[in-house]
Amino acid sequence: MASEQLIAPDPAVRARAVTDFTAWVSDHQRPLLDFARLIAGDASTGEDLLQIALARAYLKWSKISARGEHPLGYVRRIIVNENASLWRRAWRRRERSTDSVPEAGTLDPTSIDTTWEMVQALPSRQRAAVALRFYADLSVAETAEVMGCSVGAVKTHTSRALAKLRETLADGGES
Amino acid sequence: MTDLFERRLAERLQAHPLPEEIPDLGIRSVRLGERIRRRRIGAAVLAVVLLLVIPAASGLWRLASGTENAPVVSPSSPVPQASTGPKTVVLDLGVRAVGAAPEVSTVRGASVWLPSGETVKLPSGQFGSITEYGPEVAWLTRTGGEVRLNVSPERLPSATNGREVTGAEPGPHGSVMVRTKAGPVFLTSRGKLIASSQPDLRTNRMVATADAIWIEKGGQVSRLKMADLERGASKGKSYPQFQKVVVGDPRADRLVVIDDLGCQSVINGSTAERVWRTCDWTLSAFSSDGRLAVGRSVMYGTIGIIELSTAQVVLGIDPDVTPVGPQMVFDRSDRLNFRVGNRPVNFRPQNETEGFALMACNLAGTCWLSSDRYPDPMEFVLPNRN
Repeated sequence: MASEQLIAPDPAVRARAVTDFTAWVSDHQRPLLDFARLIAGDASTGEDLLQIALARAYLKWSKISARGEHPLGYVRRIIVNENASLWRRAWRRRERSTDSVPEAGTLDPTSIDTTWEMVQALPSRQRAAVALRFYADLSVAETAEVMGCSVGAVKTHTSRALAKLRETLADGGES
Repeated sequence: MTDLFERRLAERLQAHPLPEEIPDLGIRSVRLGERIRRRRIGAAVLAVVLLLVIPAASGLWRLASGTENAPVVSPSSPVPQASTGPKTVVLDLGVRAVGAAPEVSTVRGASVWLPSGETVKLPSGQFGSITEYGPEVAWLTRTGGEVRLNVSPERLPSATNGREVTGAEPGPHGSVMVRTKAGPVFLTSRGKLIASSQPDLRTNRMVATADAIWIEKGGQVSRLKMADLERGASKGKSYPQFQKVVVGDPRADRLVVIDDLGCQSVINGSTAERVWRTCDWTLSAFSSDGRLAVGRSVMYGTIGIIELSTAQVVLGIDPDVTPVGPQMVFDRSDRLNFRVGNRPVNFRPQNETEGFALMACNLAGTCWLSSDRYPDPMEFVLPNRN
């Protein structure tokens, strides 16, 4: 545990951090919430995930600001890592809630919602790889850094995910 | 190289409409962050105090006794009881044998396995929730664009609108509660179907206790008695001090809620009184009699079976390097059932056998594999039960 996390900062510094942080959250929360829902696989868990990620980002806010680090990338990394951390999943519901039930007979492969649901139904690492590569538009190397794995692993996860998605979605003349 | 399919995938994902803002998300995150900071400071201070106090106490005892030797205990003296704390078992899959099957209904290998040993082959297609209510079992299947609530053994299926269904679990008064986007649907113990499509009840976050449902809406929790719901009511008593519902158990008549500080409280379903509050555990299930709860330590990630009346950990389970599934269920013998593996696990590294399996632990700390291994974690579903 880093020592800076255990030291309560100066009140003035903290007040400034709170102001900056809440303003930043206000500006970025909708795309981040969308990303968290995609990563988590359902809306409710995505909201929990985002709040935990933001709380952790807040603890390091002064450091992030001082280093000039891009907070968006930092929060995305926490979201991916928190989602991979199983013990956090006790917050989740006992079964996954979805906005709509995928139905094999009625899939519209050109629909945005269908694509979204199919990605949410992928295993978590594949989902993270697809979300980072194609939603957040990161490179393979950037995705590997966020996921904390090798470039090869990202390629494997992405390739497997795309194979599944092609199978389901390619009926509409995608491939 | 990006092909057409990948470009279209990116376009569709990025074209997804953004969700609505969550009110006060920034300030709520700040509060949660401050709480995490305080907890870390508290843990560090405690560690320092213990490091200072234990050697000091040891020195004082030596001074007081005037000797370096330990006191002699006479044969007639009661033997001092060592304070050992709760028993903790470390999950090591390499040494866990296969033992008794779960005493709860599960889905394994595309079949429903009942505790009696009977199996019911599921139709091909997607599968939703399984729930135990009283002596019976119900499960949701999603096939042909329709969700069916199958009730075993005698009752006939009841169809509901497939696009709306998000899960099934035990409801009040021995019913099955099916959550839908249009509101809850209850199959009562008398076989009657009660559906409500009141806007106030349209939420995914809803749990049941013995005689009521608890609804989370707009960052508040409210309680609606089943009898009132049957009379057509849709608004219950509001509890603004609670923000979220986590889990409910009709048989134990308990539910877990999250308060405005992000801590969890166990609530008596009938009286709405707080039974226990904790900021250190995230609870996920109760034993059949409501005496025990299982949760994960926020600080350490370990699993704890906690006796609610004393707040004591009866059994600790340290997953160590073993991934443990999020769903944990007590059976009627107070054994805890859960899935091991969220990615393929090496059960025996020497022959690189991988897979996923169910595990059961009794309160004495004996744990065993309670199912065969399967290659896919989706092969397993543990029941929502009361």
